[in-house]
Amino acid sequence: MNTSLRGLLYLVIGIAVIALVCVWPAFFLLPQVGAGVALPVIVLPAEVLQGNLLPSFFGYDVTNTFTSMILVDIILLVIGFVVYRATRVSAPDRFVPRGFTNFMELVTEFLYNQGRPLVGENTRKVFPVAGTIFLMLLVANLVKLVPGFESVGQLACAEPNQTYYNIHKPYGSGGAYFYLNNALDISDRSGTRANEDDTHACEEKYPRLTPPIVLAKQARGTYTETKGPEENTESEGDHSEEGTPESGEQPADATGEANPAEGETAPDPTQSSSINPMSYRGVDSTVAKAETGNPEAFVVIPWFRAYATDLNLPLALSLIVVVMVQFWGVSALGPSYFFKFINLPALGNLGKKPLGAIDFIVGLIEIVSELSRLVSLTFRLFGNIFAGGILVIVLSFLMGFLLPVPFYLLEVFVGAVQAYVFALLTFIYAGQAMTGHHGDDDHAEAHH
Amino acid sequence: MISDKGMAFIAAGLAMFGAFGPGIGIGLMVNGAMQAIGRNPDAAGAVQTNMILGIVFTEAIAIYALVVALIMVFVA
Repeated sequence: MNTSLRGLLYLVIGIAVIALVCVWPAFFLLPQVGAGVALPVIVLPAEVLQGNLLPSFFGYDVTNTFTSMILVDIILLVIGFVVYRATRVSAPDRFVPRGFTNFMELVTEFLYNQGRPLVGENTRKVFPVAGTIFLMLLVANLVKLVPGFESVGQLACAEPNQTYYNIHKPYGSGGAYFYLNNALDISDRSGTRANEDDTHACEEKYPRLTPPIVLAKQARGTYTETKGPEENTESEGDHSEEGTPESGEQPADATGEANPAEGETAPDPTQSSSINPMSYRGVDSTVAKAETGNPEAFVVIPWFRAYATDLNLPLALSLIVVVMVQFWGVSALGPSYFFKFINLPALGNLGKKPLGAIDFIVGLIEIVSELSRLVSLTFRLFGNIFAGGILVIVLSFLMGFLLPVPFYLLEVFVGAVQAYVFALLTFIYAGQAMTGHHGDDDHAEAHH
Repeated sequence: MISDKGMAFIAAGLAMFGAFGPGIGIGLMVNGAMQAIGRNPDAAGAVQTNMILGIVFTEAIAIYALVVALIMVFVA
């Protein structure tokens, strides 16, 4: 057969395979065992794990990016210590490093050679900052791809407008998992967004599962209480509270690419032997819909989250870079560095060159340009890492088998590139600040 | 007629129209880089470095649009 007919055959086979592999398991096969296509829980700010760590002193909430930060710092310190020992202590006479030290020298030299043409003789001032930023972002963006990040965590009640799931505990097994009846189950409300009644009902029934951020706000007195239900939700039988689960004691689960309904195993909140365990959903869905809220609205708060998805980190790094660029400019050019912004020489030459007034206005616009660097550095890093994380998690929830793999590789690439780009931009901004603007024409007199 | 949350989602979709410009811009930039490498293969390293630099700057604009869309979805 000719080529176009063969192409048509391949196309039809391809569509059939895609329908078989992507549509049928996710929407028809797996929901029958309670594992359907679901909506992931995406939260923009970092989630609080333990509020008010030192309430009388700091009132600081431990978020799940704080734990990531500690992990990244420990990794960096270990790397630094190992390389230091290898170069200084164990074999000081060995000029050619081996193994891991060789790799770190490769990384450092790569960045140094990237920066040296841009900065020139001031590399010794700029390279420590740029190198630290590069290594920290590299480690932070690569460690977020380890299985367990953003997927293993503690159980909590769903806050309003979070997608929640009920817990299903099969009879005779020791664990439980999040349960979904149909794919994109809207009718049953599991897998949809919670409202305030759900949060209230859940907090009343499982007070130990109150979201930590709510506890922190209550302790600080800044929690605005939404109107709760008047009566308790109707549950079947009488449930004793001795089975309330401990938050944070879950054994680790498989990677985030696994079946979306396989959540973390948790001790089951309530036990009632009068209900058929295979259909146990906690609260009868008709009751949940009709009355004041679903107390079984749970969500998982991951213990670790990608460090750069906390907006504070890119903002902090951008602030450091922008402020340090001003320092380096002054150290290289002296106080006349600020003539870039407030162009006094151009103003002073108004008699001879009236068009110098334009240079003065341009100098003022340079201030805006500096501030826009702050914004662009922050959001470039934050947007890339956060959007990449959302992409992977949404694809994992859509079809967790093989589909997220190329996007996972994309994440590896994007994470490394964003780290490199941040450091490179540090070099570029420093180089621009230190060479200064030579736009004026009255450099005929010696201006060294 | 359309709820507040629905409006927010529509706004998020509209905000992503801002990704057209950077897409075209990056395409033009890579076009120029390809032509430069084709003319002078020895300069491929320098050309590639500057191309990556330019791509990063223009991609930041698309990220701004994405940030507005994320604000629409999660904050409003």
